[in-house]
Amino acid sequence: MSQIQDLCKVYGTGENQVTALDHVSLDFEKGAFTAIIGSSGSGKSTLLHAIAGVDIPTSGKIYLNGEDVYAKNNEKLAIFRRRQVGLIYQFHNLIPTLNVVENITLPILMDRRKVNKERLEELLELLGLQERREHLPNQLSGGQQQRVAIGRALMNAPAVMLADEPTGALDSKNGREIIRLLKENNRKYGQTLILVTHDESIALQADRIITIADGRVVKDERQVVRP
Amino acid sequence: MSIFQKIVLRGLKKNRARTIVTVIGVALATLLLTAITTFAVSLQSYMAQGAIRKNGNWEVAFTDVQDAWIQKQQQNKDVTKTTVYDNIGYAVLDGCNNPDKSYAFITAFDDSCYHTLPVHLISGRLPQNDQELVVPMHLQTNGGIEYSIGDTITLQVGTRVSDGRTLSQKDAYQEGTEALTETTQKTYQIVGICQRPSFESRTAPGYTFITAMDQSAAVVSKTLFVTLKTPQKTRAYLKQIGISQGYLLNDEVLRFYGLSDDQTFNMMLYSVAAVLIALIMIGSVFLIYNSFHMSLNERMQQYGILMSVGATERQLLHSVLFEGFCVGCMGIPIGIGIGIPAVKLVLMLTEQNFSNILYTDVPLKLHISGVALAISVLISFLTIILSAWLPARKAVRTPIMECIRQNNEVQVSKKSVKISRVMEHQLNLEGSLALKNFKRNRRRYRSVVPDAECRTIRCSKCIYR
Repeated sequence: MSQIQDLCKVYGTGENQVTALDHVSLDFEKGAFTAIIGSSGSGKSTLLHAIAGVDIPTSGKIYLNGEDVYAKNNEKLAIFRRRQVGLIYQFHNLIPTLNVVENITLPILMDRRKVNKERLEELLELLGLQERREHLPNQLSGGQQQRVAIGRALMNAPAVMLADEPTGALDSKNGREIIRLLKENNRKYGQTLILVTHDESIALQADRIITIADGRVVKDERQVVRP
Repeated sequence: MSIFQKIVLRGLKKNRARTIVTVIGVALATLLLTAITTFAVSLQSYMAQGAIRKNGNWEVAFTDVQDAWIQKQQQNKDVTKTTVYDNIGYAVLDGCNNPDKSYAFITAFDDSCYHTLPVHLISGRLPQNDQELVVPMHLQTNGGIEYSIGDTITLQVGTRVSDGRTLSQKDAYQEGTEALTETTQKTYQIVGICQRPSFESRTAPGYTFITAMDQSAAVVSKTLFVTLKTPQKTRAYLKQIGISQGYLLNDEVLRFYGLSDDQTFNMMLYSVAAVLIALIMIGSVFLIYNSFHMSLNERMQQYGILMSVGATERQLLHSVLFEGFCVGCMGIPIGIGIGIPAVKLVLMLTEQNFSNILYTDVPLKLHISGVALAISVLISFLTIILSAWLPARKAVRTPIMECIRQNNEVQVSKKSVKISRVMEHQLNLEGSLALKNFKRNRRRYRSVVPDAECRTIRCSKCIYR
């Protein structure tokens, strides 16, 4: 179970002050697929980044698997992100000088641990990247790059997968493929999946849809998942 | 090799232009440091050689010693050479104007003495036997006694004694308490007049007269001049042999090794060196900092991605230091490789000027010191690490999402880039754009402007010289 308690995030000061998150409280069940939707600037990405431990909230608490994320010091928070959180961005954010395998295994290599070859091969097969393992990001299509980013997020088998508009920069075919992959992993490994999107068709595939507007939760719907 | 080191090396390879600019920056900074330290060492060596030529190649003199003690010093592992002359004795000079210096101090030299202790003849020749003498010029100018070449003089030569103690050239004239004893009459012919010997101290009571050494003659005492393997260890040598007084230091030579007792001279020497190195180091920090800062935006995004995947601050700072180390390994040898020949060229071009002012018979040679080079390398590395570490520290302290989005580097308000209408009219569109660009991010010029200032100061100094 993951929890968000009374979360606030304010940017700027004085006249330029913007409230991105306004006292948000939510619970996420383990293994559930939740979609967060909302218009541009509503605060959905800010919420996701706060959960991922990459954007420090102004106030409030976040518990992932019972651990208070922001009670940790910087070093412990970084290690927590590395081992417990899988974060996927809209623009892939791969390291351009590392090849596919190195980008995927980056969290493991940062830990100076030995790469589990079986796990890597399993992921490469799942992501359809076996033939591209030595390629650099600039030698891949947008969809392939996003699959590498997913592989990187999955490599450590994190407890929580967070995806920030993962199909935003992709064509519809690649977008559908990415969502299929995320759902498959969510089912296969029982990971909690929180996905930010403004595409309603993607949101409808989730177990739960949370709508955010002006930094507040305005709707929280649970739905029967279609197979 | 860690993944961070891999990223650094591949980044350096991928961004070839950026790497070359940074390496050039490092090479220039190292070149300056190497040039300054090598030039300083070469100049120090030149000055020391000049002083040796003028004052003799020795560090310590013991004015009243016996054969057994001399042999002991010859066996000392720190001693490279010893030079000994016989102290024949003192003779009262009748008609001397200087009441504190009324003796002739007769010494007997062999050939080896002339190699270590320079005797600059003004006229005549050196003595060839123990019946011939060379007298110093200041006997006439300071003592008022004039001898000519060919004169024959008779002296009552004896030992200076005070309260039962034998006195040497180290002991100043003690009026009323000292006396000349055991005198014997000696006759000499003057064969040459020399400059005041540099080894005759200012307070010495006797004018140094030089005759040739007679190996069979019995002498009362001897003066020993010690040349050490390492002049810098003079104090340690004196401490090791347990002598705290009764010696004479070749101060004119030792001062160029920073061993002078003259604190003002030492202070001046070290202050000039410190100011020069500080000036170069500050300039170099700005130069290299600029090279690292130029690619800051690109780096910030990469740092952001790495941090979001779980890199710790320590890992990122280590990777930056590794990058600095790699850049240093490329730039520093280039800087040294160009710096040393550049100094050699400068020395060749300025040798004539130095010989006009200082020593005509001492060549101004390139002197490469391992310590000076090590200092240059160390300062260069410190500069690189500081220059690389500053932007990296800024990056790791920036929120991760700001690093990735890069939306925090420049925050512009309308007021901050406002230009007056007069200025706008004067500058036209191009000038106004340039001024606005300057105003929108003044922080960028914080390192560029002082860097330009440092260079201007250094160039002005060179032109002025």
